[in-house]
Amino acid sequence: MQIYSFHLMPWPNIDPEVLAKSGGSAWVTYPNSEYDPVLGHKLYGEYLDQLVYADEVGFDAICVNEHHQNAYGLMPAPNIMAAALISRTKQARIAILGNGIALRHNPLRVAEEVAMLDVMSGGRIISGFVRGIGAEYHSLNLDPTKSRDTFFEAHDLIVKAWTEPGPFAWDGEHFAFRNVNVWPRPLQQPHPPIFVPSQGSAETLEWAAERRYPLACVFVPMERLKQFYDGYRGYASDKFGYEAGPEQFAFNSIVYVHPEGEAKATEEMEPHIRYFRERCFTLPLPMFFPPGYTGESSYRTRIEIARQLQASGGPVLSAGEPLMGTPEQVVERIHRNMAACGAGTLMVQFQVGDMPHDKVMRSMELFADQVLPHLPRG
Amino acid sequence: MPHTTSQVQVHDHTVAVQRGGQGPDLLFLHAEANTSAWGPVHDALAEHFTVTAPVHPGFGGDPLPPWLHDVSDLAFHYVDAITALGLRQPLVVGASLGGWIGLDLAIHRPDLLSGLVLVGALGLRPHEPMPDLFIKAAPEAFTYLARTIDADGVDPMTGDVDLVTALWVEQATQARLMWERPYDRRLERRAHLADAVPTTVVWGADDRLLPVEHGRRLAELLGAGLDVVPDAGHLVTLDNPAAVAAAARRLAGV
Repeated sequence: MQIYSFHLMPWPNIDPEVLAKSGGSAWVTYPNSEYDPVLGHKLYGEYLDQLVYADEVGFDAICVNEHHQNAYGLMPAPNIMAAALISRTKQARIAILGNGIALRHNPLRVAEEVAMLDVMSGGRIISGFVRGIGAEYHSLNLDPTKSRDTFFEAHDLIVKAWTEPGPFAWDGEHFAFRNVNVWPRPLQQPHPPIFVPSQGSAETLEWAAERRYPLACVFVPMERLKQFYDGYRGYASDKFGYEAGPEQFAFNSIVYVHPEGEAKATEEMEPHIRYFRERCFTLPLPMFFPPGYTGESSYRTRIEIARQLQASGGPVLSAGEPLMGTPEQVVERIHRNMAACGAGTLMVQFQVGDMPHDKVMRSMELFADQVLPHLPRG
Repeated sequence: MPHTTSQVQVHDHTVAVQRGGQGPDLLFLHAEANTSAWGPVHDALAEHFTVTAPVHPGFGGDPLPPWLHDVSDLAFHYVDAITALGLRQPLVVGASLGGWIGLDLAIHRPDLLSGLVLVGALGLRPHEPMPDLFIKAAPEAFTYLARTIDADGVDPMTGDVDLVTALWVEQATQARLMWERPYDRRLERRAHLADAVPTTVVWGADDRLLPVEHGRRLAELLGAGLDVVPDAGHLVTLDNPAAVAAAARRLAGV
């Protein structure tokens, strides 16, 4: 089992009244006058400390990610976060989950930056590639109908820039360069491992399965997660002639350990999970799925998920099923969930919503002392 | 009013075409927001014209074509289509996006049109940014387009899944044409090339998408008359079909 520490770096003071006035979303339109840079400075320090601690206690990787113009996650430039972590960590890989390569006007900048990070870190980079969620297309004014093709072409260009000698010319549908000749080249050969966080659209499942890229779908109910990963496994076996192994799937979960058990853990964690669901992960459908962002059948699936969640009395989006309890209970549930979806990589999210630093650190310490030793590694 | 529907090959693209009525040739260029089907405005026009109402590529169930990059691609599509549809110097009536296409067509090929009726036409860069309809839920977005539109059925959380999905699929084409900029910066400098085409601008007095002042600017730019229609929103084609038909008759002298 590979064990990653996952972080969103959320804004902890989302005001429900301001949220209501800005269309009920912490994305795109939630006003940045609500951001306090002095508190922001403190938060970046604490959030980075949490990831550095994960390296110290032996996590296999620490994760950063990219989201724009929102209070959900304050890492619009994940490579800056990765750079900040390189000099403070020794063993853990730094998983950038991922660079929004369809959001960049110039994919060669991504190729350069990730190669720099890989060389600087001594080959510790995992290079995730994402399209960016729908809200990003609203925030950056990018045509969502070009998202998928731009993503595929940016990926092809970056991988070629890393693996084939330059200079060479690139004449694509979305990008054209007379001289592709990226300095530096990455340290890992042929290139840093590529990882694909996804919302489970059929098109992305097939594309990732063809290239054997590990997949992570975050914040979807287990029933859907199984469906998405089975979809990937189906493409692998039926179309690409191999059996996808557990190392190709990640299971992401909020985890909170409490020595007194599940009731106490839930009591202490529930307010932060509610904050996350009701204030951070607030995306009306037109914002989450702008027209053309995905295929017709994937959109139908999304409508079904949204309606099911609404019918069950919850918000339109899910926080997954948090794992909370005694160390023994959490170990057992990790095994059960990973077996259920066939995942070999566990991505643990300790910090949730407005959860304060000392509480996160206590939770991480307990996990390191009493859960980590009972999980198989490698 | 009876009308027929057929499939017509226009260069490399097959389009659905609705026809009805009697009189001089009229090419109707529909708006966005699921408005390609024959309706009251077609009926009103068909009383005095032979109405040809094709569905734009990428609309009405036709998937977004790979060759469609901007509105000019649709204008050039209609250069082909006018011949393929057997039309001779039709009067072109275009609403919203359809008006933008018609204006671009008139700039490129003024010889192909006998006249142009622009109903709440997009295309000219507004002085104030347009409301962002892509970010709004469908029921609310529709209220910006017309007073009479039925928006209840298009709510993605409660509406018929087939209808909601079809609308979303058509919106993808709209996004391709209008997401980055819902206008063409080049139109203003090129507009004089359409001077030879008799033009009338029709605008809803209660347009919430582009105010009447924008319609006045457009009319002045084109040296065109302006009909301001009371109690009508952006899509006068929906809110007051008779006013659109009256403007077309006046321009065509029928």
